[in-house]
Amino acid sequence: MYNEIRGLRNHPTYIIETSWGALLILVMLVVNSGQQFVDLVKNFDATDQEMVRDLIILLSVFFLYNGLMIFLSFRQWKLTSLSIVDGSLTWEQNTIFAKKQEISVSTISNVNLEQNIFERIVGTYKLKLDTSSLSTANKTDMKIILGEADAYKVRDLLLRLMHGEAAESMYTDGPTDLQNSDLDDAEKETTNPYGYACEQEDFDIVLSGKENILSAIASLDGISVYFSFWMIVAGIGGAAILKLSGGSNGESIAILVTFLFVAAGFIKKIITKALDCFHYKVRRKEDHIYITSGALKIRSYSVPVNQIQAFRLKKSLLGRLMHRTSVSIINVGGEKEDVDGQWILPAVLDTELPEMLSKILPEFQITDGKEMVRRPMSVLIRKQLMNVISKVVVTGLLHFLYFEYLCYEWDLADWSYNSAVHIVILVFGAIWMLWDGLQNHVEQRTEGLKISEESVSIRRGKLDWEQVQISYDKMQMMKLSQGPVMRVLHTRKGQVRVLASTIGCVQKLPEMSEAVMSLLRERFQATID
Amino acid sequence: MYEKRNPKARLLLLTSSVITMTIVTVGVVLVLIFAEISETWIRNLMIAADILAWVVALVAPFVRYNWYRARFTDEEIDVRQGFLMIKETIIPIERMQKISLETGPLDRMFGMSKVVVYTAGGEETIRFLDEERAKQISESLKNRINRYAVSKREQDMSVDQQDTTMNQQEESENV
Repeated sequence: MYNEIRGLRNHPTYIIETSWGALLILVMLVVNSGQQFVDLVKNFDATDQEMVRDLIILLSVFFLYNGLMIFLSFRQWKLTSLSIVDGSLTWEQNTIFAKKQEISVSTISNVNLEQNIFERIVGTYKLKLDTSSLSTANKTDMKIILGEADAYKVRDLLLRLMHGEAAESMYTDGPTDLQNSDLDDAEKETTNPYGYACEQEDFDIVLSGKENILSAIASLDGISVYFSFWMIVAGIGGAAILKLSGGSNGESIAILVTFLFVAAGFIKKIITKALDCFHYKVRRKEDHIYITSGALKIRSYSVPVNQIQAFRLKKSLLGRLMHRTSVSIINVGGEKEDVDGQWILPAVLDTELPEMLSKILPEFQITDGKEMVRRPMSVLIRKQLMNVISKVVVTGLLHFLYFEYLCYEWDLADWSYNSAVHIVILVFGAIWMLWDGLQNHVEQRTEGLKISEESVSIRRGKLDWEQVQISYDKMQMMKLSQGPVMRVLHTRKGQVRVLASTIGCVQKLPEMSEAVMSLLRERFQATID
Repeated sequence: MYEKRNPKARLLLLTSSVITMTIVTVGVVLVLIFAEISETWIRNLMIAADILAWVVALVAPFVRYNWYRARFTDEEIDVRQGFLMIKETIIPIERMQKISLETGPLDRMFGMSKVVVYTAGGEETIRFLDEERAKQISESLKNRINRYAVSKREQDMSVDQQDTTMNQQEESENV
C-alpha cells in the first residue's frame, strides 16, 4: 500500500475544462468568419483594402488572445503538481506567479470529490480539500482534477493519514504509475479502506426518488414562497390598474404573465434542490461521514466528525406543513452553496429524523422545542408596539407621498379612482401590519435557548426556523449586547462565534432575559475554568 | 477586577468625534452652497440633522468612557463597551491565536495604544490603554497563549504515548 505521492498533475482534460470558453470562441471564429474572409480575399478589390486590413487585425487579436488563454491553461497544467510526503501536502504552481502551498494533513477538514457533466463524460473527478484555516474559510483550499483511480487513491491516502493509520509498507509510486491510471478489477476489490471499494459498501441511509422530491419541496425557504405570493398579487393588481386606467387587454395580460413567470422562479429552486439530492446516500464510518448525491453534479463528500463546529436543524415554512426537517453541519471551508455549512440530511420526516441521526451522528441529541426557554413576553409586546407605530408612519408617508407629490407629477390629480387609492394604501398598510404581527407572534413561540452542561441549543426564526447546537468547547468567543430599551426590560441579545466561514461563524442569540443570558455566560466560563 | 481606565481616553474620544464632525459639517455646508436645493424644508432638515449629530458627538465620548470596562483573568478576557448599545465580549485565553499592538495617530498624540486579540471566530480590541500598560498586557497574553500551547502539546504527546504503549501491549499479547 502506498504511503506517498509525488509530482501528481491535473488530468489532461484540465486544459479543456479551464479554457473551453477560449476554444469555443476560436472554433466559432473559424466557422463563422473563416469562409467570409476567404471569399473577401478571393474577390479582393482595391476599395476593400481597408476593410480587409481591419478584419485581419480583428481576427488576429481574437486568435492571439484566445490562443494565449489556451496556452496558459496548458502551461498551468504542465507546471502544477501535488505531492503528499511525510504527512504534508504540497501544492506547487510554477507558472508566472509561482506559488507553493504546504498543508499539514492534520489541518485538513474535508476531502471531497465532485463530478460535473463534462467530468462524468470524460471519467474524471475534482478532488477538493478544505482546511481549518480561517483565512480560507469561505473557499476551498485546493482543487485538482484527476482520473477515477488517482482521485480515489489520493483520497484514500489522505484519509488514512488523517486517521493516523500506518501503512503496511513504504511504497512510493513514481508519477507515471499514478498518471491517468485506470481502476482494474483487482483495484475495485482493493483493501484501500477509503478507496473505490468503500464507495460500494452499504450506506446507512438511502433516499428514494419520491423522498427526494418531497424533501426538495420542503426545503423551499419562506422568502421564495412570500416572493412568489407577492409577485402573483402584484401581477393581478398591476393588470387591474392598467386596465382601469385605460390600457388595452393585451398590455394587462402581458403584465400579468410577466409577474407570473417571475413567481414561477420557485419551481427552478425545487428542481435544483431535487437534482442536488438525487440518489442521496450517507454512511458513518469511524469518525467520518460519507455523503454521495447529485444528478448533474455528483458529490462525494467525507466530513470528519471532530471538525464539526456546530450542528444545525432547519425547517422551512413548507417543512413545517409537511413535518420535515433538514440537517446540516457547520465547519470551516467549502464554497458557493456549502459556504454556510454542508447539509448531511435533506428534509426528512420528523418521525424518522432521530433514528437517521443516531446512525450517522449519535454524538448529537436533538433538543425538542418544548425543552427550550422562550423569550420574555415583554419582548413581544415591544415588537408589536413598534410594528403598529411603524406601519402607521409608513402608511401616512405613502399617503402624503402620493397625494402631495406623485399624483401631480403623474398628472393624476383629477383621476376618478383617487378615492380608491386611499383605500388601497390603507388596506396595504393593514395587511402588512397584520402579517408582521403574525410573524412576531410565531417568532415568540419559536425562538428560545436550551442551556445544558456541555452545549447550548439556539432556536431562531419565524415561519422558517433553524436550531443550532454548539458545544462550549467549540465556541471561540461570546458577545452579549443590551440597548437602552433592553436595559429597561432586563433583556439581552448576543452572538456566539465558532470556527467557520464568514456566514457560519456568527451564530446569533435571540433576545432573552438577563437571568438566562447570565446562566449561559456562566456555563461558558465554567468550561474555560 | 476591571482594568483602571485612563482619563486621557475621554479627550481622545472627544478629539476623534470633533474631527469627524468637522469633516461632516464641511460636507453639509458645501452641499447646501453648491447643490442648489430649492426646498426650504430639506435645507432645514439637513441643518437640524447636523446640529443633532454635533450634540451626540460631544456627549458620546463621556458616555462611552463611562461604560467602558476591561478585565483580564487567568482564563479569559472580558471587555464591555458601547454608547447606546452596550456590548460585552468574553474571550477564553485558550482560544486566542494572535495578539497585535496597534497605535493610531490620535493614540500617539495622547500616549495610548490598543491591543487586538484574534481567535478563530473573530477579533476584539482592548482600547484606552497607556502605551506601557498595552505592552505589558500584550506580553502577558502572548506568554499565556504560549504556555497553553505547550501544555496542550504535552497533553497530546502523552495521549499518543499511551496509545502507542497500549498498541504494543496488545501486539505482545497477540504474539
